[in-house]
Amino acid sequence: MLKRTCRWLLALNVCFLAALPAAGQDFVFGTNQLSAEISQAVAPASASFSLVNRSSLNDSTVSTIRAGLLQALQSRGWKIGRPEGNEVAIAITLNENYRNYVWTAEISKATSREVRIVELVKGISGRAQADNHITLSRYLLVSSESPLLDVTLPEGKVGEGAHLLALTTAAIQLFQLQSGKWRPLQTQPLGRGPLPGRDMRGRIASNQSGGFDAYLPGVHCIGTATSSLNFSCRQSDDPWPLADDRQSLAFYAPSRNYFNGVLSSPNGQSGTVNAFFSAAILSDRVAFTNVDGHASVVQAGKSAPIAGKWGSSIAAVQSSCRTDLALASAAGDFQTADSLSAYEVVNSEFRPVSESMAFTGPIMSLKTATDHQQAIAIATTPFGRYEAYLLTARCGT
Amino acid sequence: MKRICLLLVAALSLAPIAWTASRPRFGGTLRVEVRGAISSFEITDDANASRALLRDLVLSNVCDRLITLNANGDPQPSLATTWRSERDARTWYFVIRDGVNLQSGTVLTPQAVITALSAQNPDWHARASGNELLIQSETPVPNILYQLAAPHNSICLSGNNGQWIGSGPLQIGDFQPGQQIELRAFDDAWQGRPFLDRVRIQMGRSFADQAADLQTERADLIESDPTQTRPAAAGTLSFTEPVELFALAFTPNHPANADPSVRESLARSLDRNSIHSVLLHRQGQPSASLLPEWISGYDHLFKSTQDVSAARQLRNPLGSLLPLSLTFDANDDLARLVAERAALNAREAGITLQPRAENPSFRWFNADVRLVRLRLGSPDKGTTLSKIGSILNVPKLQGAQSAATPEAMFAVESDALKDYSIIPIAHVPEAYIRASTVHDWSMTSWGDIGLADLWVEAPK
Repeated sequence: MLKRTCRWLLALNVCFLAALPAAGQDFVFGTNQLSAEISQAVAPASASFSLVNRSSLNDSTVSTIRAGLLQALQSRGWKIGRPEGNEVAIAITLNENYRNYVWTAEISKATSREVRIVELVKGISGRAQADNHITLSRYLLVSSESPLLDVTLPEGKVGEGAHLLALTTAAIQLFQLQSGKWRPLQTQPLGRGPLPGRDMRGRIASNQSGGFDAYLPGVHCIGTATSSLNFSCRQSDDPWPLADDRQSLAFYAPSRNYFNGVLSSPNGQSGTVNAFFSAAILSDRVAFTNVDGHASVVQAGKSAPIAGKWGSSIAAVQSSCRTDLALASAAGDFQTADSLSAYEVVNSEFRPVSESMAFTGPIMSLKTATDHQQAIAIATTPFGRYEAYLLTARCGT
Repeated sequence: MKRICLLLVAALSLAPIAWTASRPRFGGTLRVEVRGAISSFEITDDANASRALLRDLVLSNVCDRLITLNANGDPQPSLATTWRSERDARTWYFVIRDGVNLQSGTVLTPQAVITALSAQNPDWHARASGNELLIQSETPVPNILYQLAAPHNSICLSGNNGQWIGSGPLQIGDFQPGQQIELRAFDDAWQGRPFLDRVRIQMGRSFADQAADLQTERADLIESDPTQTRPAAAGTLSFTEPVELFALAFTPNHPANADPSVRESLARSLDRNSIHSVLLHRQGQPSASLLPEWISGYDHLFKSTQDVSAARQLRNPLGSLLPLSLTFDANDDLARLVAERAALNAREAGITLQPRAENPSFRWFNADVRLVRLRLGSPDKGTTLSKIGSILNVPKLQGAQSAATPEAMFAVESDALKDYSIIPIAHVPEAYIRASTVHDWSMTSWGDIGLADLWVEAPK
């Protein structure tokens, strides 16, 4: 009968704590584990019970843990009562270190003191949801633990059966949209590593015949991606396309993190500008974020500074009501959250025309998609994940 | 009208052009100032926190380790790409990264790794087979990954002048002992060249001098007094977790303190709470444990409250006692205050402590008690305890390397503290102030600063 009652009480304890928010399952384990260890250290008897919270757990969670612990101890045969008249005193402290919740039990009996410690891994709190306002919208393409350098949509669209190519520092990955989810079809190592870099960048661009080019510092890969991946990589200093339409090319400084300013285009036109991080190619001008810290715009061979507070990632995009928009990340360090805003040219000045779209981490890459209607951004999260987004500038709210 | 146009032009030409900041920029020199000073390149752990801070800063950017810790304190591959263990963590295998360039122009070999690790870990038996390194130990080393991520296990060779040569992003350039170290970018670093061209570290600068230099734009990054919540200079203030331990350490086998009652009486006389609130301005934590709360989570199990009557009861039967000398670092103002307060508390219990300042050129070798300020340097319990054990010569603490459970770790620490040869007082954080031109600042909660990913704006 006693055994049955104990089992029932333990089951009740599990149900009770399972209803806790956040890391509730850990607390079920924790209460049972600690009560078991206390009972192992000292044979169950009459005891007083106290609990102190030194951790960041809130009052309601603490009172639930307290109730759970009392139940778990009682189910193991402890008779919990007032301090007076009890030879055993159980003092629980809920504390934490940088990694775990740490629960300690000090079991005092006469002059002896036993200590038991249980560690519970802290749950990861839900990451902050970013706002999404007015004209800029985004669609999460893929999320990856390994560093994503760039992605491209070979068919130029997102629809059932569409493909996606992702470039990482070590491989190219092929995904397909199946039942609304991007499922990995194939991952193929590059075979040739890029030159080492602290702020590694890369570019992958597809063409209409199923082929693609991938560029990393000192490496150029050429291949095809239809239902499977087939490519080879070679050492190369070939210029990189600045956007997915491949109309403008620029030479990348392989041991740095920027383009050296030498421009090229498939039709043989070339030119030189200041070294830059990224460019937004508009219909009659090109904006650059330069390595000297300034943003500038080049029109008809003349360069002029941009007096806007821009980050280093920019790209051009079109919407149904504005043909020339520049998307620009915000100024800030790589450790901070980032945001994107849209700007349009009015009287030769770039003026913001959207509310900023927040990202939880820095934007690592931004480029114009093949159709110019969309842009692709790679951003990191505070938890170290890399996320690729398809960005659209819509008119109105 | 013409005048208005001219005014507009003038106004526009004066308007500041916004910086585009996100992407790191290459080039420039970071000017750092610190209190500590070193006159040679010693890799062993240092009992002086300010010297240890400087050593760790240079070491972690010049020499890599087999393992590195990410911001959450999780072990990550560095010079070792993969690892596995056998025989209950008594045998460990590490695959050494291929093609790692050293600053000497050679390539890292497993033999160089063995030489570096064997010097610091005499209990380990290391040998190489191809690019695989085998480490064996008589006792289990479950926390070996954290041990290997500690500064003293940096893989460094010794250059002609004894300077460290490693595979890190910065290499040692000009070195003026006790005054200045210049670090230069290592272009062939396996993780890529750092953004900075140079880091110039001025040593032996007081807090006041550092603040003045930051204020006058002669420094970009300085230390700050961690007990002052209001920064002494304009800039961005960053604190670590409490990573330095203040403790009283009795000199082993010293006749003046052979009686454990003297040590326990002194321990019970300490008013840690007032030291914390008055001297530390509530920064850090009063503590009777070696490990701070943020590392262990169980420091509350070590009772830290003052009990003068118990201290007197322990002291009184001992009759007349000779005064005990208490040494502290003459260059550490906070240490002086803590030593004086400890002497005051001891007097209440009937023990005479005589504070004496010492510096590298003048040491009291016959001191009875030393006030130590140790830099812990790791978020790992076992690594931290064994480091304290090495510095304070407490062999019992080496048992922490084999402790696999929190209870076992607590038992090791309790055992080491039970004879009161070491009396912890408080844990304090470290603080830094950086100029607004310093970007992508990255510091772990245990005070590891990554200079390689940091960049500075060019002078305007």
